[in-house]
Amino acid sequence: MKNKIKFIFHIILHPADGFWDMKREKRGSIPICLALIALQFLTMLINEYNVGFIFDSSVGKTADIGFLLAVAVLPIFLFALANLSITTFLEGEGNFKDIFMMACYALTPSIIIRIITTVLTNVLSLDEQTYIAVLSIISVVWVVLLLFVGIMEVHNYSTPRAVASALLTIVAMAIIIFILLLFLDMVSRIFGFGYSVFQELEMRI
Amino acid sequence: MKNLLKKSACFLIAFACVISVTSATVGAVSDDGRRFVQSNGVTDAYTYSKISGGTRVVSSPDAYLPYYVVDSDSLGAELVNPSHIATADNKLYIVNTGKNNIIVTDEKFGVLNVINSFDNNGTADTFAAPEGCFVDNSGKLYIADTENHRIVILDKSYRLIQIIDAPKSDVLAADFVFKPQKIVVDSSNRIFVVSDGVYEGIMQFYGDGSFIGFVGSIPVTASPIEILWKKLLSKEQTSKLTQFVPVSYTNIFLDSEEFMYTVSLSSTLSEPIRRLNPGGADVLIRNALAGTDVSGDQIGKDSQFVAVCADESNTYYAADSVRSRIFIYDEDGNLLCVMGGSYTGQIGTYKYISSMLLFGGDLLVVDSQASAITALYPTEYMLAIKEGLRTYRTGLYEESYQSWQEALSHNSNFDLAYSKIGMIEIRKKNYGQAMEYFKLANDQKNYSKAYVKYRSEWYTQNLSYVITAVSAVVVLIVIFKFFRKKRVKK
Repeated sequence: MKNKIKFIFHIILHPADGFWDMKREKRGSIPICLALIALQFLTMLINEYNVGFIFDSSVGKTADIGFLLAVAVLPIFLFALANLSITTFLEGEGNFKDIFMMACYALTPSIIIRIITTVLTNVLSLDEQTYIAVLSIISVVWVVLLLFVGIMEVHNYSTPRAVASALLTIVAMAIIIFILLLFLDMVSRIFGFGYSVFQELEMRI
Repeated sequence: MKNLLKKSACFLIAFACVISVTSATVGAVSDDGRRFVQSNGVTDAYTYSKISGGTRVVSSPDAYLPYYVVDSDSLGAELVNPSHIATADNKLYIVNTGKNNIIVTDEKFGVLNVINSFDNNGTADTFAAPEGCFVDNSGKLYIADTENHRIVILDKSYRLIQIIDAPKSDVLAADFVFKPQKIVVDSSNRIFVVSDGVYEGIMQFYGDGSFIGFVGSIPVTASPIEILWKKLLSKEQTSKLTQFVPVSYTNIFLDSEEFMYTVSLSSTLSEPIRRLNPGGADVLIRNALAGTDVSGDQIGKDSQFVAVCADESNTYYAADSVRSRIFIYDEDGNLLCVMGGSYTGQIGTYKYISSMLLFGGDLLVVDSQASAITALYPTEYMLAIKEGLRTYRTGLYEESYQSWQEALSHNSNFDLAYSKIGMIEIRKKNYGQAMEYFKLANDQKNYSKAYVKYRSEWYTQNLSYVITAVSAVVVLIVIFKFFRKKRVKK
């Protein structure tokens, strides 16, 4: 257990080495990945409820836990799916499980930094908001770098190929979202049609 | 049986109508002569809130209530399409456009004089649809004689002093038509004129009638896309596009500090209300709390401002012609209240507000299309706000605190009052209290300021504990390491 937790920090500090070990030496663990997703959601929730008043961009709004859950969980699956569908064409070596684990491990910096910024929003004033902004930028850059190195190591890609697959992954994510929205819209229209037919029948009979 | 019920219901409704009609039209004059409530008119007061997502309309207590309507009947003189009201020396000057005269009344709307004509070098001269007037401290009367294309200056006893005709200048186009609509005169006798169809700004004259030039030109703004189109299209094509014409001013008001409040019609202009200094620069403060900004209605069609007035604490009132609403803003641009509405026949609704005037605490609203002047008195809520703003400006914070508390007792959703109380608490060095009030006002910026003070106060009070705790931790670590080393050595 201790080793598994140590391995998380090994990955985020030495991503090339870490992701290689994760795939080739089977050091990644699905329970840890699920725990990381749970932590991601939990820190988002804590941030939503405990962010300092000065930095609260949603004063007076009610928190939507379902939405937060979706924001925490769905992007990971979306990324994994999109990346898998691209890399199967580009001779990637990773399977869905590898990509999913890679994405989960890559979340760690954002979890850690979110805890720090949540604490800081309660201590800092508006004049010192740069610290929080810098931390948030570091978090984003770190996660993106981890994902990039992860793609390289998991699929055993060269750098240009990794860049290409990363860009194509973004396109694939957009397409998946588009199709999903189209599908949802269609389903809601079908339901709407069915409901109005039902209403019509109810009125007549 | 059913029929009988219906009949009696009809009768009851008719009876109720008769009662309400009579109560609305009976207008006697009370003891003090003015404050007599003819009718409980409507004001539909509201403000906006941007808290909790999107802009929402929040109803607010009435700021002003209509109590008297001046029309031809109650005035005893024919009032047709009045377009302006001015005051000096407790007299009111109503520009009666439709009848080409100026009606002078006392403060209770008793007619003192009707200026139909004046003596112009031996011949009787008249006005043609005058739309504006201004009375200076010495009683000199400046009249924008719109359809005669001139400005007429009369003295205290309405004898002609001077006529200013259409100016001739290089900066004016050859086909320029002088149609003065609104006029103000500052204490150094400079005359500022809003003229119909003039886009260059406000026309400025010396007291002797010579034309100086334009002040307060509104800058033309074009979006990057429009500029790109202009670059791409040929000359013939661009000539068919709508031109970037600056908007013209619709009304002007000279405040107690001799700054000019101006309003202009435009749906594209982001700053329809401006406050010009004598040099013509816009000095209006736009520093409101979240939720309001100085551009009228935030939902639906853009407001088109046509009238403006202001009081001594720079609280200003602007009237919108689209929905005939009056917007009240404080010095910083906080929306205090929106009231009024499109004409329904009820008192407190307007067809077209052409002028407003604050007179002895009351608000006089001139409705040119309904040919009436509505007098509104401030409610206790508005009086508390006014007092709060006034005392806060002059530094009487204790009194201001009381006024804001009173305003809150009328409207517990009033962000501005919480914010002002917070400011006063900061001055009293009650930073914790101030933070609480700023939180209630959803005022993050000032909360942060109070918090910085609160935090540094907390540091200075607890510095000894902090230092003790930190040094204790350091000592403990040193001891711990020392013992560990010893154990390793063994």
